[in-house]
Amino acid sequence: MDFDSIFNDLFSAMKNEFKEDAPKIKDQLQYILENNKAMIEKITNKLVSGKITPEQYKKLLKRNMRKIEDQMSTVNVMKKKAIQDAINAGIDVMMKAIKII
Amino acid sequence: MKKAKLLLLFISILLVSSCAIKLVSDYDQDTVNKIVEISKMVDLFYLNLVENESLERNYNKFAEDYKLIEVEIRALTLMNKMRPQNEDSIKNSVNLLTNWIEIKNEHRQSDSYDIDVAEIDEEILQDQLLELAKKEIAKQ
Repeated sequence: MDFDSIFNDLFSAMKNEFKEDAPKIKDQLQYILENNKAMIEKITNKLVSGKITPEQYKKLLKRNMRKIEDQMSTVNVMKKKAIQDAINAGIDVMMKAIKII
Repeated sequence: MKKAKLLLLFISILLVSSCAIKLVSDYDQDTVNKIVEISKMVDLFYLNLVENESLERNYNKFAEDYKLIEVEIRALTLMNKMRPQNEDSIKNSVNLLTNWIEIKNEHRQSDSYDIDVAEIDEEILQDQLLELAKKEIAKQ
């Protein structure tokens, strides 16, 4: 049995799966950064210009924090799916190798 | 080589026991449809709110809409809870529900809703709905 060849195929299948998902994760992180920079700036400008009270400011920031938590957990789903796909791709390679044997 | 054989044996056992690795739930079109439906309801709610003058934005005028949207968000949360490996989507819909109830309670207590606060609230709620949709799409 050629273990080197089997493992090379296995790791290259897993690596390819990760390669496909990595840009999506990077894009989501960039989106979170830009989206919240703009949002916090907007809320703060409303406070500075007297359109909202300090109490309202605090409440809006709290609600926005929940949104940030939701945005970060989307990254979590993307990572889990990438790991799931990579492992399953590896299993697929092993399954084919065993069938050959 | 011994380690490699053990790994191969482990994977073989996984295969024989049909143990597919599953870290996230499957994509669900019904959930996406529900998210879009709630997004439209929230959009309509804020369009109606903005159309009213400040003095006419009393709670009673919007009480029924608050209830309707709350029921839909609760239904979405239930749909998410019914699916295994779906903790991130459950937490997202619970956060959305928390924000919605908080907004409703503030409106009820003050019997008014400042347009500057409403503008931010709508953006936050729509962003949370977008994240719920993105989570589903990521599961495909």
